[in-house]
Amino acid sequence: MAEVRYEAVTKRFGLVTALSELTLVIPDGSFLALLGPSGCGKTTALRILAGLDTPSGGRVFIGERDVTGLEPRKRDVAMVFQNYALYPHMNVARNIGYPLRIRGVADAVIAERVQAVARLLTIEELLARKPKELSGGQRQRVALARAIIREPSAFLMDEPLSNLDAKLRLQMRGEIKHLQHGLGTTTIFVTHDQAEALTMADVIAVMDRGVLQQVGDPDEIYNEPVNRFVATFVGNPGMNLLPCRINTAAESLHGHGWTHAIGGLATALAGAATGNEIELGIRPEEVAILDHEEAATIQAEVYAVEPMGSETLVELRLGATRFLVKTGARFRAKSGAPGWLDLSGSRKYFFDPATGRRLLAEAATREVPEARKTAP
Amino acid sequence: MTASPARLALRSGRYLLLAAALFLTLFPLYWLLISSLKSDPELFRSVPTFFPERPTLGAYRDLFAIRNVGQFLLNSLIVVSASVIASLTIGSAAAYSLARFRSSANRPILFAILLTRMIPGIVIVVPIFLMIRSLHLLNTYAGLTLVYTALNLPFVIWMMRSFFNEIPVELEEAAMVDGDSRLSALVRIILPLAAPGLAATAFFAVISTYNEFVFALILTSTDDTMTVPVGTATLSFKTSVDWGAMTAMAVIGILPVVILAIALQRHFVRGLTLGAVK
Repeated sequence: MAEVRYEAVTKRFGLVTALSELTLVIPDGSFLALLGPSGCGKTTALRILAGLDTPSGGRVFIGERDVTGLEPRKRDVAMVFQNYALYPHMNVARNIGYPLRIRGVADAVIAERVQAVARLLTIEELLARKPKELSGGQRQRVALARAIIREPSAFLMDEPLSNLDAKLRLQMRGEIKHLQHGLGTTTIFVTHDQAEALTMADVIAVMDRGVLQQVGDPDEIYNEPVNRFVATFVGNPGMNLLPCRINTAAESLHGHGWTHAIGGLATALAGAATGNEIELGIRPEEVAILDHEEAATIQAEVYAVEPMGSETLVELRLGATRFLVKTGARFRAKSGAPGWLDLSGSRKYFFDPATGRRLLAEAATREVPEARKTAP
Repeated sequence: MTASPARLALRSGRYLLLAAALFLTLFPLYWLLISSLKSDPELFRSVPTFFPERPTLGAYRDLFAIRNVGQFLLNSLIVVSASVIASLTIGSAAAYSLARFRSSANRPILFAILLTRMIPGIVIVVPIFLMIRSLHLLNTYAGLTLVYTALNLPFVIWMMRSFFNEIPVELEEAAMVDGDSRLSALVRIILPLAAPGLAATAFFAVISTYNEFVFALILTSTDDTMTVPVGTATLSFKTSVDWGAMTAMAVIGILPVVILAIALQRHFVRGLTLGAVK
């Protein structure tokens, strides 16, 4: 168990910068999710930590040791790969015991530890089987068993749930989280699934195009995004963004066919933003849809209704802008029908469209006075 | 459900074709075998017999006692084994490097290797002879082994590279994280998985080396180093051919390859079809 540290780590592949000056500290014993879309550099960061790739610049530390130039076998890390990488010519017992066998541990000790780890992951009855005789979930447990048998300083997991079906993925999320808390080993978990990151991790590091965007606990990442990328990437669905203009005189925001009063915030926003144009961010679950107009509501057109069982996802159009709302399971409306968006109870976020950064983070929870509606 | 007449006719036609192909392939071998067991008078009968009237091992006895065939077999065994082992070792290492380490030099290297396979052996026979002579390696196992290793390398590299490409790179990465060095990951994880490919490659390398004639002819001139193909050729004289000895020699010559094929057949078939279906 140890703290893991990246110090200004950069990785270039020819002219492409896969990782740009990554500086990140993963506290000892914590579960960190490296979250981001494909190509954001999260797997590159993990591979550099494992020693499977060499950084173009910067240093990597595990505990107090600078491991930047060390071979993978000298770093005392264990890795679970996306496709599990079980050795096909060995049975499950030999796969699990392999890391100990290489280190010359006595056969009797290996057998005992294999049994113990197999019991922990409930795969004792699979020990004689070959990997090709296992299901996806079973293979994943074997890969986990092979990782934990060594008691390494850190676990590295490269999207280990992505090859599982949805139900099994949900089950394994909880099991991995429980396992990690029980073992207390520093864990770095790479995923593109923001739901996985939010549910499993103690700390989330969001990345985009090789650059670290934000580090924080799940609550912070979800409720206090630092920029539009984090706001729209995290959340299912992500945050809605409405382009609009600040009207300081009217203390309101003006969008395409809508106006929303924001009181004194207008002046503060005008001072903080690069220009007059900003983006208003609202989470889909914080908006109500009414079937009639009320004061301070914004009229939109229902584009599609997606019942999901326990809730309904409604896509509306505000001019050319797409707006998603998560509402109750009983919501019904036809495509093309009008819907009135009630933003009164929603938390509002403001973003600078030029830089993407969030504006007035401390002002986001302020109450908004009654709004005015303008004709389209 | 009974098959229609058209289907039956098609199936029968297919079996007939297969039978004809088998006959064309196997009959010459059968004829070779029975000819080696016939006496000289029976061999020269105007009406050939399809089974020896009085089978004799006389031709085989003469080959080993008078014609030094045992020495030819031993020479072939030593030279083929040494060159195939050397080319598999060096070739597999090169193939692994080309498969796993991406570099802009890979493509030109592979093309250069392929190019060497396109050169007919007869074109380079004289330069090779001069080189081996200058190294004082004529009529030596080492000389032949060196040449055969070089001749086999391009084939081994191409074959093994494609087999290594079939093995996911994550396997050796997992092994390296688990505690292996790259070399031990190659030996403990990759080579066992590449065994079918190695078997198939080895088999083809053995066949081509064992049957090689031109270089063996110009690089060896004594019984101490002559291989089976060259030794067999010495049984043919300017004015006559010892058919009994020739056919017996051919049977003896085929045997090692047949035994090897039987020994490797399980791996061989897997190796040939590996990667054919994902």
